[in-house]
Amino acid sequence: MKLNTFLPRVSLGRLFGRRALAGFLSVMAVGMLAGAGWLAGYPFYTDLRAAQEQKRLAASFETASLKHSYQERSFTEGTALTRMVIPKLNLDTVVVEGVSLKALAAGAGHYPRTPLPGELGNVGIAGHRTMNGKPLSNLQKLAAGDRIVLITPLAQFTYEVIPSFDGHANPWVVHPNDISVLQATEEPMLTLTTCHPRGSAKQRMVVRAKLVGTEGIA
Amino acid sequence: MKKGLIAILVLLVLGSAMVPAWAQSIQVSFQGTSSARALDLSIPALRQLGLQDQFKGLTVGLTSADFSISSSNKAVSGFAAGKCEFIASQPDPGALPCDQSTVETSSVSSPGGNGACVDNSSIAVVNLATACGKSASSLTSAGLPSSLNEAGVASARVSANLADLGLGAALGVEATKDQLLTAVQGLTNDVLTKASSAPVAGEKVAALRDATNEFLANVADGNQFAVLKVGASTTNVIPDGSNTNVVSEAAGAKIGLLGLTNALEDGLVIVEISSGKAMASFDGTSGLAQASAVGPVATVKVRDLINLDNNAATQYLEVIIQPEMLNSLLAPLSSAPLLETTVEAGSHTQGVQTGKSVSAFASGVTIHALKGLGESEAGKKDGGILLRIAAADVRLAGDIATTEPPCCALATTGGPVYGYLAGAALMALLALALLVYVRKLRTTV
Repeated sequence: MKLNTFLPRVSLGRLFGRRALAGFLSVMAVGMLAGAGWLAGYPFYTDLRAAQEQKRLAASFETASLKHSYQERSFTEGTALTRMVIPKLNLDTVVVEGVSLKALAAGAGHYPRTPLPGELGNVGIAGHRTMNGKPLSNLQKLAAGDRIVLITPLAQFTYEVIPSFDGHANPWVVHPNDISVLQATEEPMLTLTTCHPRGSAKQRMVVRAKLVGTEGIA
Repeated sequence: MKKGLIAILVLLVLGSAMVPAWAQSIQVSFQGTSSARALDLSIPALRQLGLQDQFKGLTVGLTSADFSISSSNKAVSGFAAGKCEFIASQPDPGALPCDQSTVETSSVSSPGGNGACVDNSSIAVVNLATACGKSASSLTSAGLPSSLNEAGVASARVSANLADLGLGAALGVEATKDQLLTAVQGLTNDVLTKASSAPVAGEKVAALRDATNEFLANVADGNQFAVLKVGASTTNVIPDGSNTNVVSEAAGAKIGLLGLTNALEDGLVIVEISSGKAMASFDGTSGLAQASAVGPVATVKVRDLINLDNNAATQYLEVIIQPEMLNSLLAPLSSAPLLETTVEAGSHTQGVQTGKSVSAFASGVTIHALKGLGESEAGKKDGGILLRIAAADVRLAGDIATTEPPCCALATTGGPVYGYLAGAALMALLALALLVYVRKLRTTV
């Protein structure tokens, strides 16, 4: 269908109106193209931002103030808490305290009110599966026996993914409201959560690991 | 398109409203305090020498620990002092009148552990060998408190001249001397009776009186009023798995009175006191605490001046005074006002306490020796030397509470990357359509 079929045959006065309309629509189209560019680039921007944040966190991780925070057990949201290394996923990232959107802009965050790494109970860590560095992008690849190492200024804690338990696989998928996965445990455990399916917040993928080794750091 | 943009905005707003997500968790909180004292010493007899203002008493080997653990606060601190002025009660550790060169404090922010010592020091007639305090405190990686505190002196010697204290003059008066000899004889008999041996009788009475007379004469010329060897006091908070154990212990002492060359070896009376201990434990799994105590036992030894035990190797007759057993053994000494001495093994917590809040104590052994020396008024019996040894106490309270999470969802960690890309594609298509439309529009003008 030809567009000009619908263009009315108009007077000189209307001619100026068409030119104005054409100009307005042109500006609008350029604006939409810019918006499309922003939308397309935003995920990559969050990755870049997370990478920069990780550099800053890695530097702060080496300072004495973090050790002091552990001794005082006093952490503010967004500050470095532990380094998480998962060889199977080729992952080495700094986990911050807190799981707010702002805190998780760094990639991974520690659920407040869950124990600190190495402590008795269930340490909870959430990580992005897409955008923001997507540290847990391939969480589904973890299987029983895979190692997850949490490094703090006080010690290095090695967790091992446990086999299927309580009638479900490990990793497994839960509803976003199923906070029972973070329930306290009698043994020192680690629970990783990320969104599922990839690119959606409809469900959560969960991996449970247990503490198998502690190594002091001089 | 607008709907798409609005949907994205709504998604972002909802996303930020959904966090933070909290975990249901068990909150363990407990707190405790514990202390131990090796020795409290005062010497009222120094009135006789006009030294009462120079020496107002001494507390040796004082340790304590405090801790408080909860989700919002985790603190532990320790204190160890080798020597202090006499401390009647348990004031604020920060205000204790202690020799700061024998004091070490520790906390999470200042872990300590170096120790602080002073070599030989003297206060009036009391000479102390090395006095030390060492304290180290920290939180473990599991967030449990740890505190190790130890304090004490190698030895304490009271070197007052017995003649100056009035004993020499008293022994010069026959009536007083007779009282003393009778008292020692009675004491010896009492010990023999408690040891199921036959009391002194017949010719041995005279022999004992002569031996006692000679011994006291030698003592009066010597310089061995009292010598003390006091064990250290320790207060330790030790994490063990999910448990936290607290142990306060004063290691006891050996005290020699009225000696010839070394009262600890040849004193007329030697008192040995075992350790006093108070213990408590908090179970981080059940939230229950337990506490118990072991009271110090006093063993009183009286010099066997004429080998009454018919055993050449035996130099002392001894009897054990159990905790809470009032001293009747030394009652014969009350017939000689100068020598009157009481030893009381104090009370301690019986059995094991279990609950949310528990405490235990061992009140130590109290010795008031030679009450008649340097008394403030004749017959008041407030002189001599007063010691309290091996006291310890502990208090512990804790609980476990399950807290419900304030929020209802796990963290949102799935950025809608495909939504962004789809939105970008859609927006680009619309823009292209508009540009085509504009081109046609301009063509028709």
